Amino acid sequence: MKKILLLLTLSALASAQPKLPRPAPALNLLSPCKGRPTVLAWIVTTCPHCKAFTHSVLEPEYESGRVCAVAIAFDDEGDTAKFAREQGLTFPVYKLSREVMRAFMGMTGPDRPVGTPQVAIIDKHGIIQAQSEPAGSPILQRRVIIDSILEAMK
Amino acid sequence: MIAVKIPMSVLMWLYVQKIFFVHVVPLLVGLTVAAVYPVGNRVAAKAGAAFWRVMLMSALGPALMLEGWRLAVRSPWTPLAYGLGYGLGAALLSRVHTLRLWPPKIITRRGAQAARRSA
Repeated sequence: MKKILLLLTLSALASAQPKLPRPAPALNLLSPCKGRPTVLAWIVTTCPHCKAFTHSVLEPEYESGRVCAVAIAFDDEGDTAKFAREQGLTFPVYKLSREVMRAFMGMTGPDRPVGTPQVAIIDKHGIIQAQSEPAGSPILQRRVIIDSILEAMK
Repeated sequence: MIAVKIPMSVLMWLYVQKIFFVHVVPLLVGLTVAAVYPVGNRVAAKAGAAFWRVMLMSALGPALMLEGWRLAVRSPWTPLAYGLGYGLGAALLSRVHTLRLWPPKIITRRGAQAARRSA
């Protein structure tokens, strides 16, 4: 019985992990990024890691002109204009619901708390080549890793 | 989750940094605090020590401890690493007979014993 429960738990966990690479779900906001490598960050406007990531990683990547950078806030109360102004962001910061974020990131199963920012790196063909785990992936918040992924996607 | 191949050296460097900050730093903080607390107290307890010297030397240990906690990346490993570092520092200091801050000089208990025997 214990073995069966363990197998069920493991299979549930395995199925909860989105498969990669996979085509990015259609999102109107991303249409200006068509044909370009894109770094998309799902953020919460009050999250310190999201502030650090958008300001110190995403903004320089965007300024370098190598990627199309997009941040989308999925917190209901978030003020995206204030967030962009405070972080000095020159790329667009949009707002969508948590459900859209979950669908985009391929999160299935019960709606558990997620680690933010949720980062997705999409190649020029619209395929997600890297993305954060539902619990968050600090490694995908490092510029050196993002640079390596962009290099490998060329 | 990354589908493309990225250089192993980049990942290794990140893991080395992680090990240093998550596992080694708390240990070093514990060790330093264990060493600095008694040294500060010893100086502070010296007869006729100036008021400000006593105050500053006594403040060194607690300040260093809190600075360590401010800097350390906290994880379930942190208390154990800090404790081990503190224990190591206390064990090392228990072997010290005399400690001179300036010019720096450490005389171990064994060294002091040998000096007494030869005298």
